[in-house]
Amino acid sequence: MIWGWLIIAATFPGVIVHEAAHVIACRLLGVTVYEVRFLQIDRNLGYVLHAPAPNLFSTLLIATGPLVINSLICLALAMPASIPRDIFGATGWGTGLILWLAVSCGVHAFPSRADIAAIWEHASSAGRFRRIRQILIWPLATTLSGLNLLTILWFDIIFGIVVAAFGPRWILKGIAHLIA
Amino acid sequence: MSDAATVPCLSCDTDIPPPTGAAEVPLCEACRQKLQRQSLPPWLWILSAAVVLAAATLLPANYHYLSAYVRYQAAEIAQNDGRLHDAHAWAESAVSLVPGDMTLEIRERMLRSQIATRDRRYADAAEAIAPLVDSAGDLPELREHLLQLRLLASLIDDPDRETLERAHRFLDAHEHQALLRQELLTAHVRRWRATGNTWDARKLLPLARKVARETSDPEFARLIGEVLSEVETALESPGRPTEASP
Repeated sequence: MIWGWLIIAATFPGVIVHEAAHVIACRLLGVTVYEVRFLQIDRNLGYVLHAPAPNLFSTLLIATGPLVINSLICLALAMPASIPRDIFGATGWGTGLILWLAVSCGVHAFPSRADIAAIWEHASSAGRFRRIRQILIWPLATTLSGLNLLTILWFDIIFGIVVAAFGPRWILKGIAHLIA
Repeated sequence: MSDAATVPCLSCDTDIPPPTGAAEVPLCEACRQKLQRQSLPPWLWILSAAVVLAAATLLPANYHYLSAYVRYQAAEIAQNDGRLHDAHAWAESAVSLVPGDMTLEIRERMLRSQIATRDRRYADAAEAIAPLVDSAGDLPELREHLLQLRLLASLIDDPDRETLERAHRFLDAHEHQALLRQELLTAHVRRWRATGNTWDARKLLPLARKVARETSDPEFARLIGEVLSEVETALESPGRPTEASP
């Protein structure tokens, strides 16, 4: 339990980015945001209260926004810092700071239980094609739930570190394949 | 007096019709639009700008590392494709970007050595990897490789008997060195054809048989066969030359 809080304290910028990603997704989809708490000392580290999404696709985008946005920001921040530090040993507080922010974003990329519940709730809501919606959404919801469960084994931390450490390498190797 | 069919807006308390959806929050249209237009808090914009600025400053400062990494990977890809000159060009450019990095330098020197070896410039090949042996510490395989290259270099230009015997001793201890075996055979054939020395003839026979078994080049195998036949015939003939001094 203490380790969990320590990790959250060490990676709190990722929580802020996670909630901001929800807000950005809402804004892009025209969904009204009522209240935002970017960071709090509670079981829910932050929250975004918003109007119901107009359709299932919007709900999906809002719920999985952090997975995409946090991961992209993690990758973008790690790009100028990870390889110089890990491979060439370029130390410096700037590099370390940026890398810390990158890993923090990656650690908090996964949708929360509330995010996944919102997807399933919308898929199960009354209306036309309810069963079809549930059948189509079930694989995604199950996968996201599985990912969320794996956070017990610190999979979210592993994800953040892997994206920050190896994401830039994979991208640059791809560039090398194009030019070699 | 409030209308039973209306509810107060959560933001401004204006009476509005009740919301249609169960999860919908009662807001008047003006407040709803105000909330939709509401921007992210200023402190978040400022922090984001600071992070973007820090990352943007870091990128040009560290760009040469990223470029060197791309070139290093390009060298590996070209090497795997057998394009050694391209691979060396990439490795060389990587070293120029981050001089002093051992990983980059090792790859560049090994590629330079590989190219020189392929061109039979064994002295250049040895010179390319000699500093690695000195600086890399205890690497027996690298030392063995350097020793082989130095022996190969000594076999190219009319080696004397002592050099040849040194090469034989090395080969006895390192039987997997196929290139050394081939060059040693070539040296013995050259010497035997020039001098008719039976010592060279007797030394080259087992070498030739082994090289013939090892090679996958049919033309080379045919040439070795001719040499074997030539030497065996010469050794069996009654007027064969005696063993001359080296």
